[in-house]
Amino acid sequence: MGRFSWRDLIPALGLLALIELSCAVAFASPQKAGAQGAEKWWPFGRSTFGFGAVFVDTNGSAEKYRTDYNYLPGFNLTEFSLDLLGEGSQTSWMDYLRVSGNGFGDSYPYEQAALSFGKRARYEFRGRYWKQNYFFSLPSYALGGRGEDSARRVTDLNLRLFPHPKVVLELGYFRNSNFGTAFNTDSRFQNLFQLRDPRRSLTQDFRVGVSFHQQSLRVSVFQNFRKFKDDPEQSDNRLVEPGTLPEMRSTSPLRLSVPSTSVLAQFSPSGRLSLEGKYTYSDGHVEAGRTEFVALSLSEGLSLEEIVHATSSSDRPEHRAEVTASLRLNNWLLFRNTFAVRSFGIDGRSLQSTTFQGTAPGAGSISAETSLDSFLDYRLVRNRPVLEFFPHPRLSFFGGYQYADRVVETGPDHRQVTVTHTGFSGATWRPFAGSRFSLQFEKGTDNEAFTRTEPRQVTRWRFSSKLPLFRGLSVHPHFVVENRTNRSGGQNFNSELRQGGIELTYARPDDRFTLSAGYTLFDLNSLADIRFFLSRQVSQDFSRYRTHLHFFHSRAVFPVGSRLTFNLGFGFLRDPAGSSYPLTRDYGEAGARLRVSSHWNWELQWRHVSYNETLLDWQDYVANRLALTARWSY
Amino acid sequence: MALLPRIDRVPQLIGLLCLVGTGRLLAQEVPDYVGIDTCEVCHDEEAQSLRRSPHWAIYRLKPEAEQSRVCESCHGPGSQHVDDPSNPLLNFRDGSTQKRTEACRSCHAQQGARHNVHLRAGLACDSCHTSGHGVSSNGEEEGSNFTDPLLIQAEAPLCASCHAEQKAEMQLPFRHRTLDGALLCSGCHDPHGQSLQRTSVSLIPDRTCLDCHTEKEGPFVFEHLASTVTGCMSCHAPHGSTNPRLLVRSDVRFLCLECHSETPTFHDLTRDRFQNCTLCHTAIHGSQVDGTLLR
Repeated sequence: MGRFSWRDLIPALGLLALIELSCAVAFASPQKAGAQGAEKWWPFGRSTFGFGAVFVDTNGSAEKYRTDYNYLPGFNLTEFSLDLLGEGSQTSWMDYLRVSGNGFGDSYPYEQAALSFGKRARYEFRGRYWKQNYFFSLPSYALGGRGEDSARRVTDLNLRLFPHPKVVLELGYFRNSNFGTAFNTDSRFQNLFQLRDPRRSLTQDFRVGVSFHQQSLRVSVFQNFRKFKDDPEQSDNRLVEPGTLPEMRSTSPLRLSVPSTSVLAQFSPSGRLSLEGKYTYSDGHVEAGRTEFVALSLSEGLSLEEIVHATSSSDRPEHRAEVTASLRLNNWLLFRNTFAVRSFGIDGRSLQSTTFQGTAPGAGSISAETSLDSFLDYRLVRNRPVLEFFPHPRLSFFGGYQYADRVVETGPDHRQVTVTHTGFSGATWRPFAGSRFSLQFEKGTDNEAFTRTEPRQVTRWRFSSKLPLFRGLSVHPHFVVENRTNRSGGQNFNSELRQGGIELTYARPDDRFTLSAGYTLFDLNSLADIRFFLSRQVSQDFSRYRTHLHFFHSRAVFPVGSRLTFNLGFGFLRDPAGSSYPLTRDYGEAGARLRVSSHWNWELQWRHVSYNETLLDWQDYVANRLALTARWSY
Repeated sequence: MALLPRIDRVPQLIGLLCLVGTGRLLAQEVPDYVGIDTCEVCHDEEAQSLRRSPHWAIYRLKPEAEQSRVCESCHGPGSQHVDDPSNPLLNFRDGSTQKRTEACRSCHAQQGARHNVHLRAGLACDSCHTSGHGVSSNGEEEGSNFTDPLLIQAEAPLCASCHAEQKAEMQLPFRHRTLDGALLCSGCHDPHGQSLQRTSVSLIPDRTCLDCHTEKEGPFVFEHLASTVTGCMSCHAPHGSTNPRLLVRSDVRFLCLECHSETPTFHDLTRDRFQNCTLCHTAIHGSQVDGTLLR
């Protein structure tokens, strides 16, 4: 997906055409304004247009570098933006226009653009386009990697109409497509196939809504229709373990439809009391099928074919509701309660027929049919009261309790009821302007855990702060201490997280020198006992995951003269031996920006990355990336 | 008992209090609007920049009598301040969080809950947004000071200026590219709402992931109950990770075996193939045809 395609530039070119058109309007209209006296445009804010080239040099595993960064050499439209605002325009059909985008071209793993325009009190249009490229190197089986070179393209369009000061109509369209090449695996007869698995799923949402507000009451109703389709066709192109399976292919057409209705109501009868309620009902329906063809070579001239046809369908009705009430008792006390309900069920069935037929003369065929039911019933009730206390404008405390009751039924005899109690509290103190100290504590218990690692006891301390030392310079110490345990019914799971660090920033509006640096220690120690079969004997052991990460980053920007700005940066990441996945990564960066004129800037950025891991040294690499950009701004 | 007020005198007391209250109200001079031309006499720089802001453009669409109130719509009527400059108006630099927020909410009432987490942390609207005046418009500055919702700087650095823990996680090798500008924090989090009410034993999975990763949402005929019941974050770290695909473990076997102990007899965990569960259980997020998520 990283390869250049002219089609990728079509949205950018379309937006550029819009920019040109808008600029023409912007710069032509002031003259018109004088003649007509009704319309006046001027560029508001800053309009930019940047383009450049990226050069990448990799020594070592280029695929791993792409997996980590996915930057490629090429020419790019790095950014563009335009803001136009009309003043006192009574007759024009549009009084503001904003266009922006970045990352178009060969090099960047993402590209995005946004367009919004409208006329105040009449309508508002917002459009967003976004593309993300995914690249993962070919499978490293020990770690569970899965090769992929695909992309996701998202388009979101939204039109709001204001026919009446108290009524808003909304129309929307959302499109999300996932396409490209991926690799999958299939296990059969003790052999493992690697399959080419093209991605081409498409999700489309159509939504319509209306909002109404009258004084302190606001009500919104939305109807959404989702359509999802996927037609994967898998075909083998490589055997991982040499075997006797010369051919395997499958198709799995899938169609989903999910209509949903949402209602939102907000009511604030006074400044002290506010109520908010949300309710959503959706009813998903699945229709899926699968066809497989496998050819198995048994001996010279003799082979066996396996043909599988499967169809499945399911319904999934779901209800969600949440009501929040906030009551300010006085200037010092605020009470808030949130009550939520969720329930959904799955009632589905899969029918599968399998036919084995021999290709030798006189060989017959055997067919079998199987049926598999799917059932799930999920119900959740949750209530969460919180009391907040403000003894001083710069000091606040809060404390609350959450009760949750969850029922999960996966069959007639499989019913699990989980009751969770969680207490939490915290304080925020702002001793002086710009400062903040925040401490939170949470402790929760479950009577039963759904999975072995869903904790039955959780204790968490979280601290964050911001402390200005002097003008422009501030430090942010922070830490998290978390213990999660589950010891019941022969299970033993324990996870301890210790994360702490300090961030330092220096930035002032009137100073072109900026500094950003930070160090974080991330220590996670997780231990879970497991039982497994070894030589047909049950063995008991434990699975331990340990990481002890140190990472540091820094970046300084400093001016040299009035036209030149340099930046330097350095960072490292260390997970030492003894960790589950020891690795070392260092980076350094340097750059310069030259202001050629008040409208033109030239920028050169260099970034060096060195990646080194202990377990799989064939994934190590050293990479250098150089980016040259010219930026025009108005 | 003699110290307690007699019940028959309560109406008289109420009447007296009403008289006193009315007298105080009459004695107080109600401030009046003076208009931006008057404000501009002293606050020339602010008025000039305000005339190029979206707030100015909106006020140009109001009835003519209200157009000049653009400064006072936020700072309050200014007649008393004109008569006596020591008589302060609402100052957004030093005013209380509640007053500053209510000033913005007088127009932007629909922007989020009245008591959300950011307000509880002592932030007001102007902690993140600018009114459009008094902001340095340095043409060389990275990002835009004039982004759509009038943020005081680009969104990701703005959020990171307080959320240092998340900023650090986003420096890890695998991360959502928020600091690179490819995504916005508000794409997942609602800074005006109460969507941050998440606790570590929360029983509602984070559906925000599925807004983009729609193909993982299903519905599936056979769902992976870990993601259905306990959420995406039981396996993934959304801000950043050292592991591909933002997994919370470097090795798939660590991740799966922690929940799925006691595997079937033919799973020989001493072999690489059986240590990598997703080689066979490929439909790990849910399957339409197979209850064991093999395909």
